[in-house]
Amino acid sequence: MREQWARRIALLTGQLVLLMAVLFAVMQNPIEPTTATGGGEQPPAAEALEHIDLDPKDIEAGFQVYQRKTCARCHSIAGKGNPRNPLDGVGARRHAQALRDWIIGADVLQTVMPARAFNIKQAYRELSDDELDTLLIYMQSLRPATSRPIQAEPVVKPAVVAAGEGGNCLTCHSNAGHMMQVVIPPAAPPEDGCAAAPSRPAFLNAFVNKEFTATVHGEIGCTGCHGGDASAEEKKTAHTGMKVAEAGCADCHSEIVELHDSSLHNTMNGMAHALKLRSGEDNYHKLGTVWNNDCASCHAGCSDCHLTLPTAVGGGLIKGHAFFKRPPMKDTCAVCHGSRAGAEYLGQWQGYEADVHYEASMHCVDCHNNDLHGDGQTYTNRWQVSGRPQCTDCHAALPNKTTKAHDIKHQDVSCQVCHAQPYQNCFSCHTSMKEGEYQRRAGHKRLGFKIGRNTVPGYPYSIVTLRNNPVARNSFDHFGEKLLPHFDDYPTWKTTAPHNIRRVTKQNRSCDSCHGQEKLFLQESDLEPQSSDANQDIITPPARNLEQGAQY
Amino acid sequence: MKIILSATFWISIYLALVLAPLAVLKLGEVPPGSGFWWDFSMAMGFAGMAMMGVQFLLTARFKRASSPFGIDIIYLFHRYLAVMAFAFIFLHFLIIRLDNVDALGAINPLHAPWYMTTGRIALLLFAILITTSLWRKKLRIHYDEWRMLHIALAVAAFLLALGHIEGVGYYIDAPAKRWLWSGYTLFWLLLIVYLRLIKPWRMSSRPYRVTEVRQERGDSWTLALAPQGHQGLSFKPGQFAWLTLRESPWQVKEHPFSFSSNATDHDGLEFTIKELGDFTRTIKDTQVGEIAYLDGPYGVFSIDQYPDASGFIFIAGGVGAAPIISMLRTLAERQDARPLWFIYANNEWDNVIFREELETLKQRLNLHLVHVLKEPPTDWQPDDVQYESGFITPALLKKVLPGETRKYECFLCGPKPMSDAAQQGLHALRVPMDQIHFELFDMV
Repeated sequence: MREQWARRIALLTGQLVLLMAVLFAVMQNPIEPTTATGGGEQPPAAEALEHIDLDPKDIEAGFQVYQRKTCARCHSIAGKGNPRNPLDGVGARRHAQALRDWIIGADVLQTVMPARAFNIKQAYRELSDDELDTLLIYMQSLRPATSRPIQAEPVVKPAVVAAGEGGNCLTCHSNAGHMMQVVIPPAAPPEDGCAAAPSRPAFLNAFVNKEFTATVHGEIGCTGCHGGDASAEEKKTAHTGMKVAEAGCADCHSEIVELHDSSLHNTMNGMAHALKLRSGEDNYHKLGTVWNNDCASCHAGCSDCHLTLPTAVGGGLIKGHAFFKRPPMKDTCAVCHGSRAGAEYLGQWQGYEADVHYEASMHCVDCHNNDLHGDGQTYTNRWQVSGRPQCTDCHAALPNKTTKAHDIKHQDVSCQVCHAQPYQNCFSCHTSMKEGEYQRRAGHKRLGFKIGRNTVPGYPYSIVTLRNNPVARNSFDHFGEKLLPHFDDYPTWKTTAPHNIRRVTKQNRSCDSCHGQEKLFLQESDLEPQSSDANQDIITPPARNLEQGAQY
Repeated sequence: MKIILSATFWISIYLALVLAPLAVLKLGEVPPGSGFWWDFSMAMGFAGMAMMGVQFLLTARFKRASSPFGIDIIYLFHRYLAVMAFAFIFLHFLIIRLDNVDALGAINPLHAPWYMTTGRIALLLFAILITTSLWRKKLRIHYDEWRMLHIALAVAAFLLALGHIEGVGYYIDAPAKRWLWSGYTLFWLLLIVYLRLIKPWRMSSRPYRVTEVRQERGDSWTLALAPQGHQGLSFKPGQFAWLTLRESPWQVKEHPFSFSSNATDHDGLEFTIKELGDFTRTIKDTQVGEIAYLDGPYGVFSIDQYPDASGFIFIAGGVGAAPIISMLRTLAERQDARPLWFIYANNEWDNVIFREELETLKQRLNLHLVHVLKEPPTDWQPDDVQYESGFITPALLKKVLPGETRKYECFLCGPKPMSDAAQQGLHALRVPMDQIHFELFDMV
């Protein structure tokens, strides 16, 4: 009696458990599972791989490694092996370096992979170079049969990127928490208003996104550009033997790098020229300290635009070591050119609007496309650069029938005179030494708008907007008296092209808005005491011979 | 009715314990499935483990949970379920082995992941566990050694299999599920602590002293125990207890024996034990004054389960008379007038245990005593002894039992051939199944 009941309940239990198990399996697999195509136990036929440059022999060898290392314990290909981690099509999904990292559980993946998987993968670091290479090729051969042909990824040989090389570097550099603790914020740039770094956490300067390793530059490996010792496990040895990474740019981009030698971003000739005109050749050499610590610090190399914040503000990776073909404007261009063109263009002055071109989503390089990388010619200043941007590159030259103001009478007037808004002027910067360190002391700044005569030889307009430059008669007195003997030969108010263009401005609403506004024109009273005598020559009174109330 | 409710309750608890781990797999964030057979296999693994876990509970001798069924049946249940759970666990392995052999990876433990190795070892240990239990005697494994082996294998296999689950960790990779499985493991470990440490400790604080070792007929010995510094225990006549003799309660060397004494006498507990096995052959060497420990009482083989019965039929063979004599002694003490039949089978007249006492009990009770002797002495014709020759058979029972047999509760205790024959005979006499009671023993 009791025996029968015991048997019945035992059987009932077994049946219930079986039912639950079937239910579980059905619920977990609501639709008939489809096994992925591609891959397969047999290496794909050679002709299927025509478009990718993989040797069928290598694929076969890689398949053998896959078998030997019982990868199917955790992975499946074409339904064979553990279905939880299918590898079908992985060759199309992952880059060569990423595949390598995933196979060996590179340190970069420590926070990406499940800890369990990461630990298991560590064992595969012991694969020989040959095994790893062929296994990688086998993985690359696993592509969906239906996918469009994919360009072959070069298989990076361990000779270029040692296994886990990026790994050791990235153990620290990709660990945000760690970087936050160890990165010292760079010294704030001098408050002269020329350049200002965007405000952001300092650790970003040295933080490398793990995904970088999967990019073209990432494949070179950290030490490929930076030197140092990737196998080291602590910072000091790892950083020993590091070199200037930029030296490596020429390996691939030799043409651009060569031209860049002549670029004003590299030569800084504009500054040197302006200084030399006033100091003369002899005195110029006495200003070496100024040049080295100040002017030359604005030098821009490859990375200053394409990788990091400009060195002038302390540098630092813009975004996890991402390279930018088109420099991010606000993080690069506008950082060095921030107090003038940058702030104007972006509309950062309160009460004034941004440049209409910026509002139309135009980037600096949309106009400045010829003058940044250099063309092999040595120019002494930007006004000379052949192919430098002109408004008329896009906007037809005068006379233009659309508005009377674009008539023959105004053909000597630069575009900005009518279409720019007030802009920044800097006055009387000084130099000094403090505790043996070179110092620049900013003078004062003022937003203003002044019209006067052109100061640039060869400039196509005679009436232009003028901007005051910060040099003063006694700017360099700390380094000796009368170091600028030719100060009075050149004006401090100079032709400028403000980058805050609007179609309608305060001064172009009517004839009187300009012709009747004397304060728009540089006047005697605008000049600082001790101002350069040459400023007198560029003052032009407003043209008065207008009919009263004349309207365009 | 109360018993049925209670039984239903405990069976529900059991089913919940077995099925909960499977249900929990579907709670919270569930990783995607990997094909029907794969997931069915995984479910089999989890189910098998849940059942294996509850196995510890089944043999923990919880009096309350076992009382509606009788603890002997719980052991039977334990045995059925062990086979079933092992079948599930083996299926778990077999499905993957057939469906997707690549996913098993390397067999060589040097190359295989540790959790696959623990899984394999656990499967092997479970197999050994089952084999040594189902065929202990054929394998000639000593009972005490088998028990130690059984516990060690069970714990080792269970822990290794848990390691396998934890190591693979696919379906339990959520904090809640990990908690559940950790909790489950902890529960079984605590159970083992309770069984092997706390319960023995409680037993050790309630010792008994051997007051008499009395020889009985038929190579049997009666061991009389008296509680030392405590109240002793009260049992229902027919129940049994686990006896530990000459060992500490921690050594897992206890053996189950039926009480043979009068249940109304709390000061003297008696067990009548026949020399049959390794342990029972040593009973006669027991000295008066030795310390013994008891875990009990257990069992539902008792007249007290059926207080309203109109009479009782007892059928026993050899030392199977021990629980019967306890019931008869108790009934006599209670001056019970209900009609009683005792069909008592033995090989030889000289070996009939309690022979003389049964004669005196006949005076005090309404007892119809029928001896069944395999080899009765030739030319033997005693006056006051009713006896039959041969074995207990349906025909014999029909002959000696009253016509209204189906009114009475029947208690069988003896070797399996006797018990089977008696059951057949009672069925033939239209005795309802639920009136036939017998202890299942000698399962391992």
